[in-house]
Amino acid sequence: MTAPLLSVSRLVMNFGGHRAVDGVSLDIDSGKLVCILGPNGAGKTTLFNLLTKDLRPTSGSIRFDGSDVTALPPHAVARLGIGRSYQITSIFPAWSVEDNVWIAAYRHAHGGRLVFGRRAAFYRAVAPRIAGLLDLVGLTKLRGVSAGALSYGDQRLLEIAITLATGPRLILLDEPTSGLSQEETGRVGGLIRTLAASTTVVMIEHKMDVVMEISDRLVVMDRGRVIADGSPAAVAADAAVKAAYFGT
Amino acid sequence: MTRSRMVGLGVLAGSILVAPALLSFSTASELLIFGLAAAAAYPVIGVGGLFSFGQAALFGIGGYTGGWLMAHAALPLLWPLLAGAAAAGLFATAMGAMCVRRSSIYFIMLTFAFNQLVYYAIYSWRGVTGGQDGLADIARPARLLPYLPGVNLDRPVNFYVLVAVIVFGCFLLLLRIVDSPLGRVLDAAKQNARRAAAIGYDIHRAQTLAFALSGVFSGIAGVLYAMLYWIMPIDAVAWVNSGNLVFMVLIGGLGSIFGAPIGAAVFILLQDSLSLVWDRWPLLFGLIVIGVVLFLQGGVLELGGMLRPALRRASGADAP
Repeated sequence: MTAPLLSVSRLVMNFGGHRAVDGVSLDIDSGKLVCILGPNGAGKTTLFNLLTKDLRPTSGSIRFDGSDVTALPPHAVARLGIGRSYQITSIFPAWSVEDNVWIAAYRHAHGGRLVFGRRAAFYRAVAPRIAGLLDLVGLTKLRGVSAGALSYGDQRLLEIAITLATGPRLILLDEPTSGLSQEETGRVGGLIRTLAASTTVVMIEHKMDVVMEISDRLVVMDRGRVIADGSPAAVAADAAVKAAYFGT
Repeated sequence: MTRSRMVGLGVLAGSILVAPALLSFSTASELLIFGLAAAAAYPVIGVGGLFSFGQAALFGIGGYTGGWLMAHAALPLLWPLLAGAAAAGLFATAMGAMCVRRSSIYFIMLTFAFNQLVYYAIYSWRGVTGGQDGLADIARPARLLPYLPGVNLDRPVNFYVLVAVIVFGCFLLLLRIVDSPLGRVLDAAKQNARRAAAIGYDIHRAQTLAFALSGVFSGIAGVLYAMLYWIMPIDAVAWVNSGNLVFMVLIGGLGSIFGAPIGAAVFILLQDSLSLVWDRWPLLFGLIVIGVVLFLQGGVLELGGMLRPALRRASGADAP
């Protein structure tokens, strides 16, 4: 057995008196596609915010690829290889699609060096990678368009391209298909399957058809705790048992 | 370099050549010096979206450091210039590192507090700075660089050429900074700080670096200003001057660094002409600023862009 890529241990996050994440322990193995399910307020997005260090946990620890990342700032975690897309689309609206991806590709290629003696246009070596990613998400034709002017679905695809351009080893996707049409959901679902073949993906998702079809493992959260964890079939059965038990 | 950049640089160079024909050498020099100070504020204010009200402190630290050296030692210009740039750069680094940890109004208040700190330090340290009388007896150096023959900088035309060369050179470097990866990261942080950090950029570090670079070029502008009237007035460090520098960037247009020298020129020429007409000229000036902010957010540059199609139409109509 190799060590898990991500290992979360007894993670707790308090907001004032409210405990949003209540002692979550979770190991994610390399190369798996894990879906996190749960009702609103279950603590799923808070868990993501803890993993990317947008929030500092009240207690508990996070290990990524064998090293303790609990006390690191967000940019340091990102450089280690945790990439993220947000529930509410998070892009650079004033820039073209291409420039949105450039900023991430440059970071990946040059380690986030804040060069000020050369023009950004000098760094053309990242261009083929940007073209490849835009092709992958299907935005090649829109590469010169201002990101703020894209349709909602295209913005979500752009955000995934930005996340991928940072070369992550663990990708966290927060409801990647929310607000998308049936056709767009199909495209994003296919894209996620492609990603899962080469890297590790953890995603928060509500659409059961997407979830059951593509995940290797399901984790169900409620009120800050993990209440079920296992293969899609096992968890579905488990949930059925619970529903029967509580009579709902 | 893009075509619009080349055109902008051409217009700037042309303006520098033509200015002495329309204005006195000292007014033209002053325009260029404040043009540099405003352009030096641009990476922080325009690109980074950080409304620093501490720019006068950087300008002043450069001016007082360089000015003190020129008043007390007959050194070639290189040394006071470097000393002023270094002192302002170091202070800007410390100021930036602390201020960028807070955002919006708290950031503005912190930069403002740093400005006041410097103002009162200079005000109180009378033995060195001259206090409220300003630092007097500044001599323009007799040589630019060590081992080179002397130049008489007290001749207005010579001084203007020196200012023009330094300002244009610094502007090229600032343009490079704006177009650099650092510039992109600052812009990214302005648009969406959380996303920029999630990509892996150390936002605070980038913003502190922008302050440091802004300090270096503000300091150079300050040293040139100390030589302009052979005195460094304490008003140059007052927070009002910080506000003026922010206004210059706003008037010129936040969208491009080329707006900064335009804004500085418009500001100073308006100030000079309005103050002759009416003592209460800041009132008129306030109305102009309100007009720009409400109706012309892209500043004078946007006005130019709006007029261009109309001009093209007019010239097209004239053509047979």
